[in-house]
Amino acid sequence: MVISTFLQFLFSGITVGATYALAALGFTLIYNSSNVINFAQGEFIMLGGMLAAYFSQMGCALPIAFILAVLVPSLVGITLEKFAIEPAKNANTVSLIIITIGASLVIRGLIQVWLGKNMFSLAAFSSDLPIHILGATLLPQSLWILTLTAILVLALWYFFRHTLTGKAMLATSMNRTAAELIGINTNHILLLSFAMSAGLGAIGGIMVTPITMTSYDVGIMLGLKGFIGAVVGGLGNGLGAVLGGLLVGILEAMGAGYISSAYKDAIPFVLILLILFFLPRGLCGGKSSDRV
Amino acid sequence: MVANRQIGCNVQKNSFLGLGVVIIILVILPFVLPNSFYLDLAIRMAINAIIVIGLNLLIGFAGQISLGHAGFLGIGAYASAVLPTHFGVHPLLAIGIGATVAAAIAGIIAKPIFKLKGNYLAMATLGLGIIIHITIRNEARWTGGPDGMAVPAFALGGFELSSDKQWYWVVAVLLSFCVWSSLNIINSPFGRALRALHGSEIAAQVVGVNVVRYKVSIFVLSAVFASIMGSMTAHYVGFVSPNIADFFQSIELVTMVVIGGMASVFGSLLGAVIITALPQALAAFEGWETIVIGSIFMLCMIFLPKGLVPTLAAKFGPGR
Amino acid sequence: MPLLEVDDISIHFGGVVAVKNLSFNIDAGLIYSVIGPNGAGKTTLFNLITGIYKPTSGKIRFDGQAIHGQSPNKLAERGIARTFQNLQICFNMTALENVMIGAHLRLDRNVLKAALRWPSLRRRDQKLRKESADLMKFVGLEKYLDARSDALSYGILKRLEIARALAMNPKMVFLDEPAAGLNPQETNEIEQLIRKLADSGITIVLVEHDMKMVMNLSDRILVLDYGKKLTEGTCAQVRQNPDVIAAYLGTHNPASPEGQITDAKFQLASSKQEAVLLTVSGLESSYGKIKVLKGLNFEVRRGETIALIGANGAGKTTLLRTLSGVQHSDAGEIWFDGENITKQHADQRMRNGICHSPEGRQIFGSLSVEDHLFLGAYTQKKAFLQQDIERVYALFPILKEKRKLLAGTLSGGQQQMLSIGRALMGRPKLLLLDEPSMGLAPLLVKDVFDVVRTLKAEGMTIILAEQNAFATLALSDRGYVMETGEITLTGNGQELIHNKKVRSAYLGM
Repeated sequence: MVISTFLQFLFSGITVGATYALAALGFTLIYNSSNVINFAQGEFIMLGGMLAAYFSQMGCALPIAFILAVLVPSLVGITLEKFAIEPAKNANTVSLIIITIGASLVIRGLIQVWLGKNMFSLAAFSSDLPIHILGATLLPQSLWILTLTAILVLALWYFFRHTLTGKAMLATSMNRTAAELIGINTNHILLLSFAMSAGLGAIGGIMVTPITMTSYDVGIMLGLKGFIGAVVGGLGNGLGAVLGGLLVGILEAMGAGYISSAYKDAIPFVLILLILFFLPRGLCGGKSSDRV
Repeated sequence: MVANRQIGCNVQKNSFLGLGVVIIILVILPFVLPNSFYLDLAIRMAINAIIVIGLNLLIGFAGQISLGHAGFLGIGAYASAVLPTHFGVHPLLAIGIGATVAAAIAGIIAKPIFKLKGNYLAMATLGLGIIIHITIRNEARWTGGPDGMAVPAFALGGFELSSDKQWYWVVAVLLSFCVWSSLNIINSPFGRALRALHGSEIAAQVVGVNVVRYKVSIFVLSAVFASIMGSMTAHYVGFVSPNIADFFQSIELVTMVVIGGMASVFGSLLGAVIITALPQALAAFEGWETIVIGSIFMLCMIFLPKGLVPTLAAKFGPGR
Repeated sequence: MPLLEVDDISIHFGGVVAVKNLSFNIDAGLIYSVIGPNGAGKTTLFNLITGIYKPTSGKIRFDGQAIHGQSPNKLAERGIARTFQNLQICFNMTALENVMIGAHLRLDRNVLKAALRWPSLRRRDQKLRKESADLMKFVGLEKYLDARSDALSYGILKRLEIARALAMNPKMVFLDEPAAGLNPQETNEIEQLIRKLADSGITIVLVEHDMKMVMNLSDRILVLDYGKKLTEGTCAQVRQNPDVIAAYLGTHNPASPEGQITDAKFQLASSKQEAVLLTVSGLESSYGKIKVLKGLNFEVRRGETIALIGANGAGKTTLLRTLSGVQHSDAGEIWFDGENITKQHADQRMRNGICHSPEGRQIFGSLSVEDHLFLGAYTQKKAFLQQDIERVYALFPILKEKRKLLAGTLSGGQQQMLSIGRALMGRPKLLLLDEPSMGLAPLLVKDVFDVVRTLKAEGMTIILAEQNAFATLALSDRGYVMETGEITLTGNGQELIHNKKVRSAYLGM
């Protein structure tokens, strides 16, 4: 009995944690290349789910709907970088935070006006029938989520470790001027990082919609929790982001189940305060946020 | 000899000239405003201005960040709602208790929080604000939950502060005092230490500034400002809801600081005026309100990164 | 009793022992210098004594009281002040306020009194303004009493920091490389200022690379190497100590005029009329409102080595940055290899063959040495990669040895080599070297100039911007002298070395 309850919470925690992990990776990507904390990251997640639901409702075949639901947010990400971040290159941290929050408001507002305040859903990727493990139920969709997330994480790791573009992205984040001096077009790199980050978020949103449904305002909390995951794992550290996101999801589910579901949303924030106080560089040792 | 006097004096003269202008405007305003709707707007602007001036000391002058300041607003507001209603505490005492609680929370959390920097600090303050908000929303037994609760009027020894006009004068006096004392602080040893903290923490340390203690004190000070004004808002409106402490409110406050101009007392005033007026101006836009506000945030930060007052001062002011 | 007693202190960072079992004393009223090669632990030692680091073991006593492990603000209370090599100025305050902040501990810091404009507080503040202005005059900054700190040049700000330190009424002042980045005339002025400080009774501890200044000023010298004490004694003792000479000064002293004139004999090739590679006309550039380049005209021929010399703030770095494209030009034209590249972005110019090794190295701390070289070839075809890397390794064997290590763990000199190597990977037609010898110990400076000579012998076209005017002019074909954004003199290397104006202003003769 106890085990099955525990497993139940664990499964739902890991499932939603994977979405947080992808959001956290998105934050890390953008932070690594431009030192900006993108508060609009959550809206990319929302866009993924909403657009996938909308396009499939409009009659598109599922694969097409998914591709569009990843492409459009990527384009939004590029637009955001080009028209909001790049012009404000030398602004300080607070100003950049406000710009990205403004962007998240605009994106959310546009979807609200276009698609309304209703909830949308998507069909599960394979089957709806829950799998039973040790008395707990696991949805096949969760397995999809975990597998796809793992693949994406590995792909990113390879990108940064073994491709020149990936290293160029890291170089840009460390010292933009020096990167330009060796011929890296840092503007392109930044656009790429925003596009990738938005795409990652969108994929996460698509994957989790069959389980949690989506609406125009899910972005804010998802984004914040994804950011918490990134910080918990160590801001700037990709592996940390993934672990952090999963951890946030699991602790949230455990907390909601064992302690109080009213305070469910508070748990990630308490967690982040504890981590920041006792492990200020996160679990895996992220970068110090002071660039000298 | 004349030279070095002048630079200090020029800046000072301009500042106190500005204060004079503000006081004149405050005195004339109630006679010029067409109806009570505008008076109400003015009162809200003034209240926000005081909060923002306090927040600006933290963000603009000391160079720290707080994305959860609305939490302290909420503490003050709900102290003034809950304590008189459920425990029969006198409103004035309730304000004091609220401020003390806000100071205590700020004081306890400040030390560990200010070991963090930049984005980490932002996140921690954000977390604090959200935790306070969620707590207020959940403890429905005391706070009335998401629906909020009524707040008794502020009464002092038989005299009840109820009419808009009375509120206006109280707030106007408070605001004037707040601007005056902030200007004084900035050019004092304490104020210079704060600004040095922002300029270079290491330099501040080597000249003897106890950096941690200063960060804690300014955080506590701005939390107390916010709490007291939260209480005032609660009494003025007569009603509170948890929204007063939510994330969006915190962002609005920071935006007021940044749009008006960080490290500028008058900037805070201007920022408060503009952002408070915004929802009213946008009422006509309905569902587009969010889009317009978001666009304004972005455009202001991109094109006026220093904020309005410093940008204007640079353009039209004395050869700075 | 000595004013400062350092008793067997050590500190390590992770596995690296930065300072090992160091002991020495400093008596009051002396000028005490700490010298040693890069990486010897001088700045670490300063940071230990001034409270920025905490020693792993050992004790430090000041005026008889233990101070090791205390925070900097506590040490300020005891009368210890310091300046910073890399400047820690509060740019959000005026120059005068930066000095006033030095008096922090002597003032009433009460918030309430401040808020209420307490009269005694106001009076004290006015008095402080005058005292601070006097200090600024003492250090020679009377022209800048009204200035905003963000408008001042590096050399001025260094003196401002000294004024701030003096405002603390300190017993002991630590000066961290006060002459770094200054030209010979400015260095002279700082030297005199330090002498003035010492005469007023303050004990001075100095970290410096400029040997002339160290020998002129010091009462005693401590020589560090690899975190340990190599020797300690008077100037004469240290100068003649064979270990010191070997480890640090080298057998050939680039700082002595004799050494440099010998170098001048090393004049290689050049007034062959080769084709013009680079033409610059009417070039202007600004930082915000400040115009830094005011209409420059010059040209560079293939195979030439061009020296770019001038004081700090003259615009050398800005010029190189404008050439490589990371700095925007407001007016004028740049023609490179027959093409007008004025409107091209940095990455495009790099592809065209202009490679820049920037001021201050600018390496990527968390990437490996090897990755740096791979990235340096970002714009080049993969086919050349292997041979180009081998060539760089041949030029800089130490890089081959450390190729898998993170660049952040290399010493200053090694990082400089890496920066040049990275630029070379771009197969440059024109190599821009910005202050490659800055902050390096004399022995390493010689190595850097040797590398430049080798590249020159291979036919590379080089523009070399340097504070070290002598050594630079000695190996250059031609030189341009810049002053506040304009070219004021030009000629071939030898002409400029013997030009009276150049000699007095830039060679300290």
